Amino acid sequence: MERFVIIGNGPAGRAAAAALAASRSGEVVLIGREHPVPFSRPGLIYRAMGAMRDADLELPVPAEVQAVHGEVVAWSPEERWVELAGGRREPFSQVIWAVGAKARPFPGTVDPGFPVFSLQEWGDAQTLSHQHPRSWGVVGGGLVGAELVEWGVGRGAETHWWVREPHLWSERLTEEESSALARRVRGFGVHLHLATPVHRLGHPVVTAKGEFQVEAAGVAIGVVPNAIPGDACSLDAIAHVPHAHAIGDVAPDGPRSWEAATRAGRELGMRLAGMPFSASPPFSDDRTRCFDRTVTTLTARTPTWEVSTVDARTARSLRLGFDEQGRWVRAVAMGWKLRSNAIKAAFAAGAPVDALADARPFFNEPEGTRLPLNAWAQLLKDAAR
Amino acid sequence: MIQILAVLLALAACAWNVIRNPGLAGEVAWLAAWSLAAAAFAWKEARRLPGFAHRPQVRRWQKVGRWALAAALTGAYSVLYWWPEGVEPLLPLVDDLSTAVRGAPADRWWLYGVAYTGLVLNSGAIVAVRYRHDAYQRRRTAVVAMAQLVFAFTVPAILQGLDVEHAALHRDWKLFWPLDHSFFEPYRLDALRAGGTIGRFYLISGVLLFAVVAPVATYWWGKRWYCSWICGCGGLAETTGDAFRTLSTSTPKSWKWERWLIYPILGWISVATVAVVGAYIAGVESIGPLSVYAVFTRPYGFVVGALFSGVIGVGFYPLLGNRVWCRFGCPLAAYMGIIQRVKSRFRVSTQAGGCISCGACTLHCEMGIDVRAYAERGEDVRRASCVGCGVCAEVCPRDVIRLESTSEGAVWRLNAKD
Repeated sequence: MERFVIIGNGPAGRAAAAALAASRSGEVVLIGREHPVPFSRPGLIYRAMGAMRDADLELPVPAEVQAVHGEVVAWSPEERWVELAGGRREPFSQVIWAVGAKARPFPGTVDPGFPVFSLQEWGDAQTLSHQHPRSWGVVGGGLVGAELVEWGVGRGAETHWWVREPHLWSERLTEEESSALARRVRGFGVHLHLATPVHRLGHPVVTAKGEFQVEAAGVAIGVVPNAIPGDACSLDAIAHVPHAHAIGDVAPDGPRSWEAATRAGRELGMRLAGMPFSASPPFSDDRTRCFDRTVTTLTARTPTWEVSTVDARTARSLRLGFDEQGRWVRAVAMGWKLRSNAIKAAFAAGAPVDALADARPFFNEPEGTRLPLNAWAQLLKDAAR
Repeated sequence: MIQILAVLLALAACAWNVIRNPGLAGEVAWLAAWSLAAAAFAWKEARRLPGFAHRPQVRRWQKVGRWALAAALTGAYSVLYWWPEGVEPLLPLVDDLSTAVRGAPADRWWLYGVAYTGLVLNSGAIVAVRYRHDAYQRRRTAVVAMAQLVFAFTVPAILQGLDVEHAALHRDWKLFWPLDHSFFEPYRLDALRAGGTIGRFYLISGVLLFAVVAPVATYWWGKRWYCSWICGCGGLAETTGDAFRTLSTSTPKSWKWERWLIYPILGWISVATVAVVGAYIAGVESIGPLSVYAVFTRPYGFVVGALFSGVIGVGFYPLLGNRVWCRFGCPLAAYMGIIQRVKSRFRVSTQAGGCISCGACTLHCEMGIDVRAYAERGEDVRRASCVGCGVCAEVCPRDVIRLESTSEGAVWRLNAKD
């Protein structure tokens, strides 16, 4: 009988475990280091804000899966076992490394005793939930950085946000969109400092644009894949071991989103179980949030040209991308609620511009925000030109 | 601090009215004082950051506080129903208002109506500010509050004030069978038949509401058309009860309890009504050795009509959430839920690929539906219990959830799964 050992109970590991358990193709063991059961890592910010409890974030594990709480400290691809701290060994016929990534440490100097927090692991949220600084600084302009900023503002702290890039979320937003978002963030009382790398955290915080006094700081400057134990073990080595697999954030070209990791885990699990599955359509669905503005990016292919409209006052924007044949291949919305199912169906159908006259199928209306009919019509006019 | 002062001011105004009975001006003053307190809380809501994470949560209270509140609420309802003498000292709060509006002195039900409607309106204002960024929530809150004010309070009071006879007509018109369990009782039918044009209107519309309007409207919009937009029980739940919504449990066990309670109650009222109507048509008061009133009407009225829907339904807000009655007892919810589940255009759709499993939707579902489980799989939520409040869509940090009423949803769903 097959024995599948999955190391890492994040979205990739959990999805793989669920797929294998559903197929009943063998025993499934899911090993987690941080917490005994899988949990929603994106939901940690709500735990830190006190809006959720531990049980709210915990995710169910299928009854057929054996959940093990422990850290894998060694493994033998030849003898096919993994060893947990404490000496317990779990044999496997197939092993899946889904150990994810960890917060990148701050590269600069940190004064001894200066409180620095991150929001990557289970314990981080609990630690943060007990803090009440009067002034707070955040290093890192990504999604987690935005969440840490919101946390500070929600606690009533005077909050500084230092972002290395000249524009907020420049990998997703145009300069105009980014400016609108930055304006909204400042409207919440945040001191947003763009193009401001931080050199030292302490009293004071030293940045490229001056010094600041804050009681504590949060750092969210990306992640690095967790290491896989073993002298000669690397992801390259795993690639040559037929019964070992690496998925999720730990993989070098692994996805960097919850959804993509879940999909990768499910597909691997079904493949190992010998179950048929349809490959996911090549559409990416990226959603991030900064305070009350969700940025949704749906992409079929890199567009050749785009049209966009931005309302700087309300920080709402719409951008449509088309390929060289005029087919719709991208939608980016900030502050509007998109119906991604309908948009992906339009991508799959290769919808041209003149097939998009009716905007209603593509927005969450009337339950969501006011339908941007005028903005949509103007975009299509621009696209037709 | 301002909120505490406003509440103290309102309590002082109430005490002044009870002790001194200053008249109509005093009664208006205490009502205004409570509105001021509500405005103070609404102002606090307006200063919060948007998003569910910054909202107050009753879950944070110590359990003893929640039990104490539950004891107070169940105690108050028990006094209201079964010890009316205990309510009499409070009647000066509303006596002159009652005389002015309906030409009759206040009784316990008038006091209850004023308190209930006042709670819905004032809490509704707070909730409207809380959800001010969501158009659906703003509209829904406004409509359900106005439905309570107009149909459940003002119209019956006006009818009484115009000296329209028959207490059977001084009722909430939008409350229909089987939620209005006494609609087909002989004294009601007699009053409606003898009530002239208004009586005939109430009688015919009451039958049409449950036989035609309810199924058709539920087919088109799901049972949210009533449960979240019109119902008086829903009105209190969505306004005053909003802070308690995160207390609704979403375990499989609670789901089982729901089904084992709500459908038998629907069966009970259906059998009881058939018996009562049959006896009425036959002109008898008993069926064989069984007294229609003693066997069919009275037990249901006590157990379900008073104890479950009133004492437990509201009294248990601090323990089991704001929809205890709606989830576990309401026969109208059961009736419309069957239609919603089997054949309705309504569904809660989820956008496949966007869910981050944070659980905010499940936490805020007042009907205890594990919305996250559906959203993770990109599946629609087509549950009989869903009242379409839309808060799951409002709290979702990735805009994955949407309430829909479309032709695509209108397929027969007769399988037992989910």
